[in-house]
Amino acid sequence: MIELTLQTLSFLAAALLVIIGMAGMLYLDNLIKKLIAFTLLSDGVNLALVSLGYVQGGIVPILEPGASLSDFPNEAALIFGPGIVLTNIVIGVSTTAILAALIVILYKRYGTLKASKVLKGEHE
Amino acid sequence: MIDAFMTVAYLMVIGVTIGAVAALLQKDLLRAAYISGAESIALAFLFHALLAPDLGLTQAIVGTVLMPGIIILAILKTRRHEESD
Repeated sequence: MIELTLQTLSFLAAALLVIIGMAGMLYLDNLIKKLIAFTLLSDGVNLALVSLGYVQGGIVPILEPGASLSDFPNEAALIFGPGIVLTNIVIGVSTTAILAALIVILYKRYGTLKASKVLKGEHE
Repeated sequence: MIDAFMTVAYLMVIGVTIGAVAALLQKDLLRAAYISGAESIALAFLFHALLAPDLGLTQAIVGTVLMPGIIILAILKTRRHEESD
């Protein structure tokens, strides 16, 4: 039996977010819904990477004055995953902005937000 | 003793998944953008509970203001409701 700690539940939530995001990107027809599903997918990947670094009963990896130096490597959460995720959050915003601009251009050209009509190339 | 902070963190795990499903089920795209912002706030709290408070602050600003803002700008330039046919 797997113990239901916060880390396990976060992994489950991350897996659900990735599944929901991929299913939304593949099967929803609206382009803006696809964009929202993409942000959900990105959130799921971020959550998986952050919960990898979690230490049960640990502390935030900041060495404060007066803290015990010998306990710090055992108690502190891992820093590598969150360091990458901070970059990924910022890159996700610029990717979303570019996708939104492309959606607006597609709407101006085809007059619809449905991906099936855009792929068929129907002009209005 | 039940830790209040961890209890809220467990609730936020549920809130993230429910918010993700609810955002994609909306017919009104503007409301979908708002709900994705609410899901992002729950994710920011979860980052804080997972011992990464710097990511919590970044996600709270970026996911709640910038992401829905960009999506709402795209909706204002196109159309608000999903086409039915």
